[in-house]
Amino acid sequence: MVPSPTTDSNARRERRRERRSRMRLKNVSLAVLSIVAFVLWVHLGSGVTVFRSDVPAEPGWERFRADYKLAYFGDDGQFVRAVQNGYNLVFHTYKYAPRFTRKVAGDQVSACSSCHTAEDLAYAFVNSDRYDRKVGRRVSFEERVQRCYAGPMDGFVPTIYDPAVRDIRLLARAVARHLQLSEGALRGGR
Amino acid sequence: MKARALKYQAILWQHWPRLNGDLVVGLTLALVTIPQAVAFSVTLAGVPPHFGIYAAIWGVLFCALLNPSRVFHGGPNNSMSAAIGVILLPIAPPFGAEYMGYALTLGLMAGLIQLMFYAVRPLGRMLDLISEPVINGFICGIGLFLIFKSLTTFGGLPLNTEVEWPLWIAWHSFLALTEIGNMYAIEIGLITLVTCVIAQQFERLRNWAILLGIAAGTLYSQILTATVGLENTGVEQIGNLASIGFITPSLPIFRQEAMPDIIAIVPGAVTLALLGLFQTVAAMRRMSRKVGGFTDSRRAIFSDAVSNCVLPFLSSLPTCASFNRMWLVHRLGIHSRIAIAISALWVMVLVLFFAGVIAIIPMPAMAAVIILLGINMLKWEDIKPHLKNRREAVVFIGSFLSVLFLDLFEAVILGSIVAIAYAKWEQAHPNISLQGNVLKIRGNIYYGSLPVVESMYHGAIASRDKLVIDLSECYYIDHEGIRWLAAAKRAGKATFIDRRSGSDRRGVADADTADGSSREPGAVVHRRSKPDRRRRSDF
Amino acid sequence: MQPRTRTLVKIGVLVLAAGGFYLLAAHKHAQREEVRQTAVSVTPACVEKLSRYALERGEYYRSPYVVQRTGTVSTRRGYGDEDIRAIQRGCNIMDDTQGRQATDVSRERWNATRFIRGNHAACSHCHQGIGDKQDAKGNRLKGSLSIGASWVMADMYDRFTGLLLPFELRQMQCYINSSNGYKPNIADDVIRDVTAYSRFLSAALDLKIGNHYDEQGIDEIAASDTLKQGDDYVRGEALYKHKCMSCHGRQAFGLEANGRLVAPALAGPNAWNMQSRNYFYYVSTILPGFICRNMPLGQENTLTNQECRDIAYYISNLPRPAGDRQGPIVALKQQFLMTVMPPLLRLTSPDDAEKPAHGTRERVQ
Repeated sequence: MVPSPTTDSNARRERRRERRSRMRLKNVSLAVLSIVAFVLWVHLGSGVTVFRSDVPAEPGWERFRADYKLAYFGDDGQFVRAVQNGYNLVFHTYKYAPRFTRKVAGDQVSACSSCHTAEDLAYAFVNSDRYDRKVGRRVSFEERVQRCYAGPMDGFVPTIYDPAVRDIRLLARAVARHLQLSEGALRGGR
Repeated sequence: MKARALKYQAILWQHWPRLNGDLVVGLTLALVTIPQAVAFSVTLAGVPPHFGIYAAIWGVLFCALLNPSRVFHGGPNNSMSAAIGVILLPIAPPFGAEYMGYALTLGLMAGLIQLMFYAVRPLGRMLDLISEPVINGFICGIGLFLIFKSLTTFGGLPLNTEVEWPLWIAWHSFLALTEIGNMYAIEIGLITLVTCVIAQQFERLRNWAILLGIAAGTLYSQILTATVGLENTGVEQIGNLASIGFITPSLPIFRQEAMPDIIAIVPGAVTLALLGLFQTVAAMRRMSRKVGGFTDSRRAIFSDAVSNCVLPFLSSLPTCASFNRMWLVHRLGIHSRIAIAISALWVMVLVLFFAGVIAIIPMPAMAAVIILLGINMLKWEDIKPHLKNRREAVVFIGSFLSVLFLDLFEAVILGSIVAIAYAKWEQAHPNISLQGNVLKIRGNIYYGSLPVVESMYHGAIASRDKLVIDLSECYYIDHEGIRWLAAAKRAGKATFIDRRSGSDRRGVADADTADGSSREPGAVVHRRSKPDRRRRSDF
Repeated sequence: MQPRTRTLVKIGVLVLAAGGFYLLAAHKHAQREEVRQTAVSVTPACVEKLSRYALERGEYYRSPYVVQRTGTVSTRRGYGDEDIRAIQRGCNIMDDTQGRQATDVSRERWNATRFIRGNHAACSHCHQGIGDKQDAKGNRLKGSLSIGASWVMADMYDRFTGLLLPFELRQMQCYINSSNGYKPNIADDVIRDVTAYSRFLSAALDLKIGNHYDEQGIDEIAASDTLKQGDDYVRGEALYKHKCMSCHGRQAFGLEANGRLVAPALAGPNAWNMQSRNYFYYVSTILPGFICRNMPLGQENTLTNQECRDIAYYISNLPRPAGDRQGPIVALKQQFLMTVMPPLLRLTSPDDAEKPAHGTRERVQ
């Protein structure tokens, strides 16, 4: 039988379709592989620090933990980790709260600790939620921290229960326990 | 040498109009996407802004690479971001490192589930059974939900973490806004909202409405900062983006101690995956219908799934198709993946250059943008067609209410079940009419519809000697149906007719029997390509 | 209408709506500020308590309780007018949450009742002694839910919510446990004032941050504190009929007399919901602990541990509202039970004659 023109062109069309689908498969696999390779490079080869959600240990933390007897709250745990994060925030603010401050490492005031010690924070905590003459109303500890971020740290206002604020409160609480402060404790008093 | 340079110049000149067009479209798309990306991540998902920005860069790039459709635009999505926010609310306080880790884990699990939908074909097919009214019902419900959830941020109030989120809380959020909201935040939010809505009224400004609103809000916020001081206004802002570079590799949480929380968010991951898939499939379907052209939705699912599996390692929100942005691309007249990829690069460039400006955008303005987007999701023109048909109306209202009153996960599952169930219910009630002694069945005779068919049949033969059963518009008879027909034949009271002609039908050519109900002029005649399986001799 | 006119009208309406909302917000803010600045009408119980702890304006605060107990003076930071008002309002909210002694609940109690289901629940029903229960000699009682002691041990990890729970959020949980679905925003005055009162109490009692005090929380009763004779529902019902019914009512729906609340509801629409830690199926140690230490009123510490567990188990089986966590279907079911069961039971169960009180029952344990 003589092959009719229609069947001939149909067969050609079929072959073209098959070739196209094979190419498509090749393209897609190439795309996926290149994406995966890119991600692997970013993680391993690019030198950028990988974001992890655990709290990194800064030098000085162990000493701080020993000084303020934080083992009372356990060696590890949610609260202790939050206090550790608070420690990082207070002493290395520019690194751990980069979103809320424009300060960088070289600035004179680059962290909360540039102006406050941990004990200042503890006393501030037990004296918070009181009327503040400068502001004209009762100011909570969180609000005071927010004002610090916005003002002296030349930054922005974090949300009130953002860990950048909460963990500083927890640090203050932990230090206040060590100092055995009670509500309203005054410096130098009993 | 010079000849080659001239040659390249000639090529560039030849493609320049198109490249130029792509650049402009890319820029427009980037300017529209950036505020959305920032707003979604910060207001809805509770993660820092770079999550949304990376979704707008890398998510769009990866989708453009993997999805062959020319109009597909992925990127951050408001429903998925809202879902992330709701799912993680009881898990960790927003914006913290732990929260971000869980968001990445959630995205990764959602991506893997979407990959499963791609790999297992029947699952993907089930998505097609989720009809348009269901998805529109979800979208409308989520639109309302977006409005209510943004109320607290609109007024500078903290979100109530750990608290479940039923709809009626919205009323008390509104009251809290009026009673204890930050007045400066409310002012900024109102200015943004009013500017956006006014700009939307004018055809020319519609694309730029959100940017104008944000500009107005930011301007007012800067005035406040200059006069009153940021410490005193207490207005939250996006925050410093300077430390964020082109890319930030990240690792989702997957530790033993996090297992209870991870297991708790698995239903949330299913919800997230389904939301993304629904929206992608629906957007592709609508675009294909409006624009012409066709891309298999499986390809879209594949591209979504792969990019959602990869994006959690790049500090990014999960992505899915955005019908609004795709429609914008189409209206701007360019149909090419290059333009979409260029928009991702524009986002990168703009963010790097304007980080300082983005940093001072106030959160209430972002909340106002979300409220506006929520209002836009409640378009009456999209809702009206569904309310015309009763079945669609029931399904639409059902899925709309389920989003509002149930947990998101339950809503998605329930909506899907309702859609499928209603379809089956419809099928199970064929249209049966009895005129004289002709019982005409329009629809399918199968186990689901047999009870209805049989009851009408028995009612009919009880009052008549002879009955003619007209199967002309019956499209499908299953084995159970055949058994019933055989029994009816044996009983002897009924005769069967089928007015469809056909030389392809075997058996007795004279379909019209003793009753003389002959082929009427104008009767519908069906020609089948396959031989008619139902032979006369079977009866 | 011309399209342009329509646009203008739309814009006009929008601006009016926005302006109206802004004015409404400004007005409500002014109202709140006015309430914050107004002198507080303190409930009699609060007057007595606050004067006992010498809450006065001054540069320093010296607690008479500390002087009395330890013989030394503790000098702490003093309170200003606004602080004092906040503390007074906090005490009012704890003592009289429903505002029965207030002239205007929405003003004086910050409308706390809109967050609470029914009209029985008040903080001091559980946090007895307005959050500071002491015996006649001034000793603080173990497991008496002292809020001062809670403050100093606050912000710890909470296994029920799986979060570090700030003090304010723990307060929110109290509303969640009894709320009708509405929760106050964390920044609401209703929470800030109670926090202020808790902090004042901890100053007055000179409690140190981070220390554990016996009066914190509940003195819980686990099954291992009993003879493990099984938590018997029927035994619980019998005990309830003897000991609790006269005050709390037959169906435990509470009792009101002469416009006063004799005893609050333990079941039914006015009681805590299934999400509360009082719910025996959720936590089985808290309600028994509360009952044993605080009930019946006037006869505290007379029940055995097993009896307390039985009563708690019985009460938890009575119909109560569902919490948010249970979802809408369970909520509907509970509503149905609360509506249908009481009249059904009244019809079907005859009134049992009161059994005579047991005098010489062996008190094991």
